[in-house]
Amino acid sequence: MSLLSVRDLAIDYATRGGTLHAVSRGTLDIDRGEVVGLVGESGCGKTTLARALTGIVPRNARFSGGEIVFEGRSLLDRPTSEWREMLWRKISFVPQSSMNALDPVYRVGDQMLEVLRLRGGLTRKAAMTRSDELFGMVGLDPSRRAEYPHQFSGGMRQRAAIAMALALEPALVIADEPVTALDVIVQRQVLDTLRDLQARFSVSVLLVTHDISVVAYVCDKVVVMYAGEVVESGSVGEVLEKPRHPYTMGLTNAFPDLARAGGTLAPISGAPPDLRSPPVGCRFAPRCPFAQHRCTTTPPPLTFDDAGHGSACWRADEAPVLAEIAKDPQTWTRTFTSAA
Amino acid sequence: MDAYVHVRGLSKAFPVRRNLGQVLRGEHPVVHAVRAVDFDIVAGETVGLLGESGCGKTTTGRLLLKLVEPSAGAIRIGTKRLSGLSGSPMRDFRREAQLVFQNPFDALNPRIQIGRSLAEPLINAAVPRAEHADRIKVVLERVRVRGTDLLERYPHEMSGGQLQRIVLARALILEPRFIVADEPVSMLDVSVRAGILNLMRELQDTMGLTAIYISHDLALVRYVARRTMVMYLGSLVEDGPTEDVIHTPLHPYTRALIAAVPLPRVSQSRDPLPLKPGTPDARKVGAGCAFANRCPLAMPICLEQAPPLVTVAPGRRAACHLVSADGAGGIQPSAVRSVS
Repeated sequence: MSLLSVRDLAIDYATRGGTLHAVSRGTLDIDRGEVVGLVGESGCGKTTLARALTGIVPRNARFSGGEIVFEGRSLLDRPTSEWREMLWRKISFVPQSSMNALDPVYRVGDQMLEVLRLRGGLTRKAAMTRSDELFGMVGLDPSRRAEYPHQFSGGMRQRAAIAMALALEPALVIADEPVTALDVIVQRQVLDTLRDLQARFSVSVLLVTHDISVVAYVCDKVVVMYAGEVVESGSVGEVLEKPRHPYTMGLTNAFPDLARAGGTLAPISGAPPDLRSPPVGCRFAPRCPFAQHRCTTTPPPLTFDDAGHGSACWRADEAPVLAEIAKDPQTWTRTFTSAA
Repeated sequence: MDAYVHVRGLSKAFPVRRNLGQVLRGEHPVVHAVRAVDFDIVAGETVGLLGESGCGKTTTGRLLLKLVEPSAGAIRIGTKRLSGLSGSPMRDFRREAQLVFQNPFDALNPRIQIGRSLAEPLINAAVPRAEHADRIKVVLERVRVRGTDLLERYPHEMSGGQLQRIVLARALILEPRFIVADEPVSMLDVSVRAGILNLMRELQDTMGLTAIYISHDLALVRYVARRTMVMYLGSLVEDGPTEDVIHTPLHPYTRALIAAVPLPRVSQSRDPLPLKPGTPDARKVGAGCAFANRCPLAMPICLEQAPPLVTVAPGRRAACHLVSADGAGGIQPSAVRSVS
């Protein structure tokens, strides 16, 4: 049984321009001890979905459908207060910029103690010991606990945020772009620390990122989102090497690979749809070089094979052939609308 | 061939905040952002300037455009010596050399229509008003932006990719010969980024631009630049054809940097980086090599004496005692991690 199971989750934002359907098919599973990457481009709903799992949503957001089942119990039926009680203890969060996770006016060590004592109910002495342990685990010198966040480098702040997220040994850590703002060497070191600790505590991690290289480096599974919907998911090897959804194919083509010489990167022409009035059919159809008539009229369902590789494309059966065609950059210069 | 960009001994020191003791002693501490950098660029060449945050790559770019004044050293671009440039030659230089901004969302005035933003450089350069419409039309074709009401639109009405094309158009409208692009795609989504990179490659060819492409991302630098210079804490540590730098890096820092780049594929090395624990700190660079505290190959001499940037082969330079000792690269060439 999976630790977390999200089915057809829908989240709307009330905006001045009307209702914005930020997430309309949030479907993903996370098993115990698994690292799952949630990838997509800005505005695809990945951050909204990930944050919703902590029960913290902006005031103008509302759950409009679907379900979230965590450790066998539905979360959406519970009162928010109960959900919040689980924060840190069961589900913890590492934000993109740890300047947001750490309060600039309190010492880093004191913030750690607060989590351990108020949330974890540890005595002051036990919390101190545990705090030093956690600092050591993420590669921070415990003697720097008396410093303020601004005295830490970006990588150190991110390490501190990871230490806090792991402080109460939660079952699930949600990390929103945890290494995006970091230099490549620091990024690698933070990812290694995260993966190392994840394995040691067999905690599950949902890692939100726009970078498929980060997913390939550190994740077991990947979930790809486009325009508020999960369009493909499965093991990292399957999805990156045998993509079934044209958006995933396009994304991998647009990504430079340092180990592969030459070649041309192919952009996906067009822009994602306005989520206040998304297309009636497949949301990727207006940008898809393989779109057919039915794609513009009927949204394809997300279906899974026996190995757990899922995709939402009417032409998923032809995926191996389409993936070959997709490798030619010329393919991406034509779309259904421009061809029609 | 005679160099178009000629840089010798270029240095820039910024004053840092003084503590009380330093104030009382009348000291003026500085941080050396750029340290005695030498390089030439021939006309029509695109060079990548690679490094981590704080390495001085952005300051170097700003020095080349005379947006900041150097503390020491000389820059010649084309026929112009930048030191003491003023009056009419200075105005000519402002047409000849242009900056492409990093963040398209900040680079354009949000309260000014696109058409006026594009006309502004023409007004500043005293281009006759009658020519404006034509010049704008030509440059928009160059950057492949179309749309009837485009010129009346405001920045918020456009997507990031379109905006970055406008930013590029603004830099190109005066037909410059030299551009400095500082992380021009770092704010863009992957699917859009590829389009901008392809456009930049094409413009370099069709306009015969000499360009410096500043980035922390080796894969992107490789895509647009045949030559790469690597900076570390203000110094150039390596210079050469991009493919050589990637496949046979001469400097231990370059090797670590390459090893740290995650690849968009499952099979990749997850070995520890060839680095000793330590952090780069521009304020603590002493007499020796700035990288010595993190270098796995550091020798006693590295702590005492900074290695000069030596030419090991035509167009191939490195600043490492191991390299200068042998004359031709004492470090075992390490190719990009083997990919199965």
